[in-house]
Order: sequence, then C-alpha cells, then structure tokens
Amino acid sequence: MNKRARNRLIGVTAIILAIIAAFFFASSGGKSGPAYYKTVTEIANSNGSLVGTNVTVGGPVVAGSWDKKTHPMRFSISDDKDKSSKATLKVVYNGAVPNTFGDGVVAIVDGTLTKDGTVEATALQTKCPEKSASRAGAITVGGLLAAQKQLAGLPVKVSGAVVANSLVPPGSEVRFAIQGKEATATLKVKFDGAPPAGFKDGAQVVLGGSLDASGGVFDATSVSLSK
Amino acid sequence: MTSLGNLSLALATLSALISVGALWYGDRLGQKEGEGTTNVGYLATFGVLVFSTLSVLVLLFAFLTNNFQFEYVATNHTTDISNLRWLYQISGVWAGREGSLLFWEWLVACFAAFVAYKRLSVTDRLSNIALAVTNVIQVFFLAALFIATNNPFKVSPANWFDPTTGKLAIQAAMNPLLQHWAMILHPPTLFIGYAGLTIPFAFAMAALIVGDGSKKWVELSDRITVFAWLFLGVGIGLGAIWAYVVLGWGGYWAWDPVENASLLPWLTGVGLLHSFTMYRRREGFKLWAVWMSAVSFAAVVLATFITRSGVVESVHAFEKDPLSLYLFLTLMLGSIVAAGVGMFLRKDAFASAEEFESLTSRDAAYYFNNVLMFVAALIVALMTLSPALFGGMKWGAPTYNLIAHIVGIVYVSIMVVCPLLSWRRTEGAKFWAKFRTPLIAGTGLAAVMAVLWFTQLLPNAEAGMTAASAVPIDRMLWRPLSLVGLIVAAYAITMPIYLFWAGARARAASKGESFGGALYGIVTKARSQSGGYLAHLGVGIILVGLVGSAMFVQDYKGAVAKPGDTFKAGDYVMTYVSTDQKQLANGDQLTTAHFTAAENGRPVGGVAPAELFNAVAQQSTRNVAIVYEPLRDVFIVLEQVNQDGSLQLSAKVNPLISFTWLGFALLIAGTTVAVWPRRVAVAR
Repeated sequence: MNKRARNRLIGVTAIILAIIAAFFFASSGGKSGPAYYKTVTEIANSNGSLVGTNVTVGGPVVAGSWDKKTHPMRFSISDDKDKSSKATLKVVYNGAVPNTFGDGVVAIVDGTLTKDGTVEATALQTKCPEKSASRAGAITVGGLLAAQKQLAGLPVKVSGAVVANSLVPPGSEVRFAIQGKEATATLKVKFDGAPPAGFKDGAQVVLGGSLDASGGVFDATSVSLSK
Repeated sequence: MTSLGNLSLALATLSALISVGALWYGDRLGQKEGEGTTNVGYLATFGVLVFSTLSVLVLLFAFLTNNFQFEYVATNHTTDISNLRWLYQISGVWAGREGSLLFWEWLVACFAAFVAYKRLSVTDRLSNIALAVTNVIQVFFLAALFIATNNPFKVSPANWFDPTTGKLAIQAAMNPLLQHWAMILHPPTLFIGYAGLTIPFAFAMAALIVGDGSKKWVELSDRITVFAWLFLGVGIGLGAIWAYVVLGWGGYWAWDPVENASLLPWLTGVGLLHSFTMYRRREGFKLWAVWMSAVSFAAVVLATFITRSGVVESVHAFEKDPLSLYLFLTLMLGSIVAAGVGMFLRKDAFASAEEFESLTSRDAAYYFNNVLMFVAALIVALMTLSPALFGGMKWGAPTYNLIAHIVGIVYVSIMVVCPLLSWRRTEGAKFWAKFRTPLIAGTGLAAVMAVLWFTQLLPNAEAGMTAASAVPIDRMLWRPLSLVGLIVAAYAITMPIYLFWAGARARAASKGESFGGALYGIVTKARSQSGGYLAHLGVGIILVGLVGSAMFVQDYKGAVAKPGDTFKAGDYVMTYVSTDQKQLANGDQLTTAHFTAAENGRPVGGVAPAELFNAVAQQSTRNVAIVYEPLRDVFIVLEQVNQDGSLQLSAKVNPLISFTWLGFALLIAGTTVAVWPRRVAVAR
C-alpha cells in the first residue's frame, strides 16, 4: 500500500468513527440518554434526587393496581429484589401492553421519574419466564403439611376448600384459610390480591405459592377456583 | 438413566482429551512418524460425536417418556395436548439452559467429525491442528456441562414429588409462549450457526500455529463458514417472526439483549465472509480474516454468555452462575488474545499480497465493509453489556435505531458502489461507463420510491416518530433519513439486477448462448458471486421494509361494546359481530372476537383476534389477527375482554413489512446458492 493511500484510509476511517461517535452522543443527551437500573426501594428512598432521570426498574405488578381499559394505563410494582421492602412504585404507561401482563408478573419499565414519584414509562416489558407453572399435580392440604419440611419454600400448588368465615379484607397478613377433604388439616393463606369471582366459603380452590419456612402459613401468589 | 447421560458426557470428554493429546503429539512426531498417532486423534474425534450423541439421545428419551427423575425434564416438559405435542417433547431438549448447552456441544461435535471425515485421508498439519483446536473448545463446553447449573442430567430432589402419590408436586413446565413452530426451530438453527463458527476460528488458529499464510485454511473452512452464517441468519429471522406473531406487541426487533447477542456474530460474520473473499481471490486481507474469525467466535461465546448468564437484565429470564461465567469469559478473551498474539508473531507470513492504491478501489470498499461491521458489532456489544460494565447504564431502542439508521445507509451505499469499482484503483472514465445504466435505472426506481414516500409514508411520519423515538436529533433527521434510506435502497435493488443482466449479456455474446442460458450459467457456475449478488438484492429489499415497518408504524386503540360498534385503524374499519368463548380439551379457554373489516368502505373479509388463556400456566396469550397486504400489515390485538362484555382493542399498521420478510428470504436464498455443495477434489 502506498503511503498516501494509507494515510487517506486512516483519515477516512477516523472520520467515519467520529461521525458514529457524534451521533451516539447526540442521541444520548437529556431525556433520551441512557437509563439507569434502579430498584423500587432505591427510587422510594431517593428523596427526589432521581427526578427527571431515566430509570429502568422492574418488579411484580401489585395485584388489582391496574386496569387495562384506562389509557394511559396506571399500575404499581413492588420490589422483588429486597423481599423485606414494602415500597411500591406507581407507573403510567401509554403504549401497547404485552401479552403476559397481569397480577404478580414481573414488569420492567423504562421511563422518566416525575416529581410526584411516578414513572412515566416509554417502554414496558414483562419478564418472560423460562419455566411456567403447572396445575397438574396440586397437592392436598394434608399432603403439604405432612411434607412441610421438604416442601417449605418451594413453589407448589395446593388445593382445598375455603374455610367458612375465614376471609378477611386485604390489609391483614392472613387473608383466609383452606382445608382438605379430611377437614382435619387447615392451612392459613397469605394473599395480597383480589380473590377470583365465585370465591366463597366452601369453594374448592387451587393456590399457587409456597409454604413459608416457619410452616403453617402459605404465601399465595395466585388463587383460582378449581373446576 | 441420568447416570448414563453423565457417563456418556464423561466418555465424550475423555475422547476429546485423547484426541487433543494425540493430534498434538502426532504433530510433534512429524507427518510420517506421527501418522498412527494422528489417526488416533481423528478416531477419537468421532468418539466425541458418538458419546455426545448418546447423551442427547438419553435426554431426548427422557423427554419422550416424561421421566421426571431428570430435573431438567421436570422443569421443561410440555403440558400441551395438541397433535404437536411430540414436537414440543423433542424441543424440550433445547428449551432451557442445560439442554441447549448440550445440544450446542453436540453440534460442535458434528462439525468436528465432519472436518475429521473430510480430512481423514489427508491428515495435513493444518487440518490436524485445526481439529485439535476444535476439540480443545469441545473440552471447554463439556466441562461447562458438568457444572451443576448447566448439567442436564441432574436428578430431581426427592421433595419435588408428592410423598403420597409419587407425582410431580412442584409447578414447572415449558412456557406456553415457547410452544410455537418458529420457537421450535429458532434455537437449533441459531445453534448450528454458533457451532459452525468454531471451525473458521480453529483453522485460523491452526494457520497461525503452523505459520501457513497461504489461502489453504480459508479454502478448507470457507464453505462451513458460509453455511454457519446462513443458519445464523435463518435463526435470527425465525426469532423475529416468533416475536412478531406470538409476543403480540406488533414489532419484530426490540434491541433486547438476547436479540443483540445473536446479531453480534452475524455482523462480524459479514466481515468474515468478505475477508475470505479477498483472501481467496486476491490473497489480501489475511490478518483481517484471522481477526474476524477470532472475533466471530468470541461473539458466539459472548452470545451464550449474554443469553444464559443473566449478566444483563433481559426479558429472557435465566439464572446467574459465576462458574460458567468464568469458563466462558476465559474462552472468549482467550480466543481474542491467542489470535492477537498469533497475528503479531506471524505478521510476515500473513502479509497481504494485495496492494491497494486508492480510496476509490474495490479493496477500499471491502475494507470499509469490515470496519463498519466490526464497529457496529462493537457498539452493539458495548451498549448491550453497559448495564453490567458501566454502572447500570442501559441504552434504549432510540439510540440503537439512530446508529443503525446511519450505519445502515452508509453501509448499503458502499455495497451499491462496490461492484462498479476496480481492484486497486478505479479509473473515472471506466467507472462512469459501468455506472451509467444502473444509475439511470436506479434513479427511475428511486423516483418511484420518493413518490411512494411522499404520498404514502410522509403523512404518517409524526405517528411513527412518536411511537419510536424520543431522541431530538433522530426526530430532526427522521424525514430526510427515511427518504435517503429508500433512495439508497432503490439503487441497492437495481444494482444486482443490472449485474445479472450485464453479466448474462456479456456471457451470451462471448459464448454464443441465449440470454436465459447465459443467466443460468452465471448462477450455477459462479455460485459464490451470483449468490452474493442475490444476497445484496435481498439487503436492498430489506432496507425498504425496515424504513417502512420501523419508522412509520401507526398505533390505534379502541373499544367496542355491542355488535355494530366499529373500531378504526387507519383506513380500516372493523365492525364488531360477536364474541365466542370455548373451553379446549386441556382446559385452556379460547375467546375469539369476530369482526368484518372494510378498507375505505370496500369489504375485505373477517378478522378474528383471540385471547387464549392457558389453564396450566394461568397466563393468557393473544392470538393476534394480522391482515397481510403487499404494502402493509394491519396487526389487530384483542387486548382484553371486560367484565361487562365490552372489548378493548389495539391495532398497528406496519407499512412495507412484507419487504423485510421478502428481502430476508432472498438473502437466505443467495447465501444458499453460494454454499450449495459442488464436487471438488479434496485439497491436499
């Protein structure tokens, strides 16, 4: 390669790289700049220091906090990284809602944090679970309690009948209880969401969730009527 | 059964180690003395294939018999009851992390055995060392498979089973979203591409080790490389189709980390293929070819790393695993460093024989092709990894899009001009003589495009911008960039057609053939060139599709409450007829809304978007209704059925999206023409 051609080649390469770099920086100023991964708790504790910045934040959708009919749609997400945290974050979103959106689904939003602590989301994705739940093989209340030591903490499905007069309004830790056919074993159930239509005393239900380590209380993530 | 799987994996590892040892020692002994030892290395390569095949079969059998003693089967089995169930049982093998790693390793073993089979009668130094390098890589993969998080033959914990009935008590199964034909084919095609890119890297390393800068290593690995790149492309395309049809958000590319991961080796692969062309035809770009081989292989490893390590927050949920992270990091950085050191030590043997004298030469076009593809891959890689590397920073689609718009237009422009340039230096007069006809024809097409842009697309520019970009500079350049994109595409489409036409005319004149016969002769005889032209034509058509379907998408939302209510999407009006709900045999509930559609008052039949509630996963998926037209798609989604029976709907109009698919098909067809096997004597 002759020297002149070489120098020109290097020169043009440098110009191309400079143009790409210029566009990169031009496209990443202000609102359009990079978003920062934050947790729900971090945003809740930020005391306004993050207002106006782009954030990417994810967490399970708070049951009953949303209504797909409203546009823009509003919903809240909670923190799944820090289990002890009670913080929630309000989100406003005006785009297409993904297929899998629903109570308890981990939603990841990109958006700008506003003064009132709401994220105005420009993008919403739901975390696509690699593995999904199966109702086949729901265990009985008796079976679950018998195998309490082995099953504690594992995702299981348990079926049983709602114990009469056990349902209390949301807010308290334990919402209702279920019992097996044998009516000897009773399982207390922790649940934040709204029970499905048709949920009443004596109804047969299938719960998804896990038994907490102390035993006795079932942390339900889903409640459905069994057919 | 699980122990049989692990045993065969262990034997595969042993075979790989024996093969590496024998090939290395055989090489030390020399061509004559070492022949027996070298043959052992070749045979052991087949051994790796035999034992890894056995491992795959064990896993497959476990899926077919629903053997939940395999933890991997328990967590990835299908609960589908349709007549496609058997397909999902097979695809369970690659549905999760452990199985897909095994499947990938098996494919590398297939490629290694193919090379061993082809070169068994020759056992030249270059092939011996290349095989040894391939088998070292296999040892890495096999080792990774023994790490608990990657091992597909783990036994399910006893507490996963109901103590009274012995049935599986935990809830786990394959995701219903993955149960789609495109998702069954997407991973294996992608993995064939990933695995195949091991071979050019192995030969590049072998060439460096042996110090053979001739084009022999390129000739030995060229076709496998094109083959691998072809499957990589098909895999990316299938993933895009799946995203479009199944995920229901109306697009096909979201710059998701996992999508980006599969794009990286494809981009560097473009550079690699063109470097190989230069190497074969002009003995030039030698160090580029070595470098792009190494970078492409590293990109493949990086792709696994991004997909499977959870290093980047993504919609694809995979768990974290530090041990495999270090293993893959070593493999990735090791390959780059080894290639870099080798290139430095062998820079004289790999000095380019091709001189290039001016910037307006074909050599320079190839050079910029490599630079742009390498830089594009580097940018995508850095932006994708930035959440992990740069303190949680994450780039949004608008930034990716803007860079893609600019790089894409410049790149396609180079692609258009390149065939008209001469090697080394282009004479102005000669260039204009060649350029005249395609310039006139291309300008004609460009004019048509410009009219189309002005009348059809421009009125929707604001809608497209609002939907896609919040970047001020992007908004500013939106209209001019989309117009320039279409004009460049017009020339990109004209040029390959012109080249076929001019080539066939020249051949017909010189050989006295008919025009059709000459055209056939060009396509069948000069395969890599005509395949290349066809692929270039595909790229031009894709660009038209990208401008339309990525820059001018219109969003609509609406609701209907009673029959006779209408929902409008552009000039489409859908009149609500009825909704029916039915329970499928496996308990899934299908809700279908029926509409009659009219376009500008002209009836165009019915559309029926539906919602399928999967009883097992307690998750609803939307069966979108797509009205396919030549110049646009109307994408209708049943968002929600409300308690009072009214329906929530959304729609997208995606202009020119069919051009993306058509161009992609041509790109695949062109690559297939180039890679189609022909009878050649084995190089000695």
